[in-house]
Amino acid sequence: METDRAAKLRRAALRPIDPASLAAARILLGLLLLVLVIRFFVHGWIDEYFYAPTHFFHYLGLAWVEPWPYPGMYVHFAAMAACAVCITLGFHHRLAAAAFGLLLAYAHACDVTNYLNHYYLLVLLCGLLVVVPASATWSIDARRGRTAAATIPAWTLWLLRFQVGCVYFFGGVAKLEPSWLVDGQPLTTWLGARPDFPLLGGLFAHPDVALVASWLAAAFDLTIVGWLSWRRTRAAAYAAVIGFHVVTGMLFHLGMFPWVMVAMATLFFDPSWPRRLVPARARPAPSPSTAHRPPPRALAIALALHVALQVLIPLRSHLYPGDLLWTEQGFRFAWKVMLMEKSGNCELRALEPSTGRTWVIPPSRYYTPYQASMMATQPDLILQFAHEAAADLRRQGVRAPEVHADCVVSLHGAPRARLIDPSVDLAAVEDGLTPQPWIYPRGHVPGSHPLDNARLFGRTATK
Amino acid sequence: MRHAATTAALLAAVTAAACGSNTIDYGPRRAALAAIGDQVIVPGYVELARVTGELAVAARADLPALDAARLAALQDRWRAVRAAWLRTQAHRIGPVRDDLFESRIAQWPVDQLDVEALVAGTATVDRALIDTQGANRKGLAVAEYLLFSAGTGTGAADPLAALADPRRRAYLQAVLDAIADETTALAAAWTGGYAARFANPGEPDAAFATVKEGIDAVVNANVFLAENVADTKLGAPLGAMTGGIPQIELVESPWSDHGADDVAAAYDGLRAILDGPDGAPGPEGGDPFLAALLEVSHPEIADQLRADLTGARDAVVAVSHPLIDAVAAKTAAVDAAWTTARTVKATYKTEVVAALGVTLSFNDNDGD
Repeated sequence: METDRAAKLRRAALRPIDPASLAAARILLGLLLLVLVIRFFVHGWIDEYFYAPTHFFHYLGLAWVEPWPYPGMYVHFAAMAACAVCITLGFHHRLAAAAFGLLLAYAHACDVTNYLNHYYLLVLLCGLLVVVPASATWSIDARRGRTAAATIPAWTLWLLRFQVGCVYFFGGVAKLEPSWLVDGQPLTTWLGARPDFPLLGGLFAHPDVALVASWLAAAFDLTIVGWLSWRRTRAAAYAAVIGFHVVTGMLFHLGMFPWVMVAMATLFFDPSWPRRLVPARARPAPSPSTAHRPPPRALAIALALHVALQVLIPLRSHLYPGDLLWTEQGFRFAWKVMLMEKSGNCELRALEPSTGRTWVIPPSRYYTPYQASMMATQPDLILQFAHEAAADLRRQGVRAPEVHADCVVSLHGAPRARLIDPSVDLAAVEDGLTPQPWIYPRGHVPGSHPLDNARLFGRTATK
Repeated sequence: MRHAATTAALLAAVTAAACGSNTIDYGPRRAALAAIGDQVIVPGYVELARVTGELAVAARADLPALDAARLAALQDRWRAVRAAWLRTQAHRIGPVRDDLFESRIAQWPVDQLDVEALVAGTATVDRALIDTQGANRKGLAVAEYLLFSAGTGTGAADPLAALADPRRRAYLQAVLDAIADETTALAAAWTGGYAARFANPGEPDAAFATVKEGIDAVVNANVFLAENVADTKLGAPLGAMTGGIPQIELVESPWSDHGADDVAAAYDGLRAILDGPDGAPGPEGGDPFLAALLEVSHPEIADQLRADLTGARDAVVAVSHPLIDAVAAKTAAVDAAWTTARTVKATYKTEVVAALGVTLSFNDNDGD
């Protein structure tokens, strides 16, 4: 029985399908990537993200990734634009997609505070474009006969559908927690801030609207892939996709995310859907095709590994103790999209044990206001801040400085609580993927800091 | 057919909601922007222009025949101006930043050597000279320097003696005239149109595209001031960032010993944004200020913020004078002032920001 099922699955995966929807996805994605790059130039983000900061937050193991010396990042983004055009036109699209993905990943990795789920998604999609025959039609390469094909194997479309489906599904799973479903947070806060939203703003002040919207959003994320995949509900589902992403795009600063999802949702359509939109003479005559050959073994293994990782990585947060929204361990690369309203105040206290000298170190000493506000709620970035400060103090001749965090955070407007154990010398803590005991559980009422004033003023205080 | 009927019903429901929204008020947020603009910001700048104008006029009358009593009266007027300016720092939004008024009105620190060189020089000292000078050779801090100190190298024992020099008096008068003109222009910028642009987000030529952006701007200004008080006005002089070694040269308003009063005035400005110009919680249904927005969902935060501001103001007022001496000695009172200032900063940056869904460090970055 299992063998039969496997055989059926194999046959279905190798079934020839029209390459049109994959080509349309390539064209749409290429255009969106081009817009993404243009926005960096128009908004001045290349300077803001890469040249205004003097210090950067690094991903584990990627401390070597830094912005190129000026104006290198401008060249970097110009190269991305060229790659986006190539992807759109289907001109050496695999090479262009690989290059764009690597360039975007590099830019994205320069500073953790720039992390966005949809940048990660775009890197993954570019990676998958390298693998799938997205230039089989409607491409320069196909016109030249290099990549033209009447059909492509179904698994190539499945792969992209899976990737897009992960965003929705795990985005929905992330919403299955009390603050979202019971308290209606953070939508209560966010919708309440938009009374002037076109058409719907008048409703946002109603206390139940945010809760209903929370449930609807969770249901949307968890089920939309199914509705899009089912032919009978597809049209209504896609209308819902457009409505959902347009509204959220107008409500929040989501950048390209809504438009990427609206474009990529077309992958769930019938593979021939774009042919209804193009003139008849532009349609290649469909040719009968036998089943495709399976991909090379090495590629099949790599893709299987990719699929497994895409399932496991979003679930890794469950391996960590405590409230994910509080500790943020396992938060990134897991499609935790727009889940919380969190704000923090974080500074460091440094101590030179041999002399008793102390320092209060505000993040503004090293970071831009944007970096500082992002850092203040994320423990691993606070740890990097502490390491940066410790290294700086050592350079100034301070002997064996201890660095302690004084960080308080409010989640969804709740009374602020201490995020980091202030008694821990963060200068002596190594970053890692294991649970970090120096992160306090949610709700730790802030008392005075161990180094608070007693040491700073104790040596010379007068009445 | 059935789908069409369902679609029509949904459209009707949305349309009904949409039509309703035209008659529904926009809740307290839009009203808060209007109230903060009309009742706090505009009166704040008008008051600032009034007291600076009075100081310039009084100086014109008193400087030619200056004596101890007249100097003391001018110093009192300067203190009133300084307090009025600090109160406006709670709404550091719009023209004061965009048109660089703040650098022309209250740049700190003072370039004492350059000021003395200009006073001792041969160039005609008048408005034209002042208008061509950099920000740290004019403004409130320079006026303070001339009104309250004998200056470096003047040989005078006190400001009264130093101001016997007609060029020094002329420099002071020109500085005060320039400040009066700048504050008048700043107030006019608000009364002449910016107040309407501020209060009506989303409309053509509005200062903000959405109400949220307007509230974000107000709260960010509050956060900036709370941070400035804790880190710059108190923390830095106390040596918090320099291994505990006091940096008394960083104490602001040093010649007038107005540093603690600067901080108290800053808290008054924050309190006005929170509760209105009288700084007292308003009656139910009264004009909404920031507190009303917090009270929609988190009334306890409004109460906490009031308590924090009151505690911090009381603490800084209790610091012994002169502030420089208290800082140098790191007295327990100045320690308490700094501690409570940090509490105010933390409350703004955490509970207030999170409760109102404010985007800190106002920018156009994407998020998801």
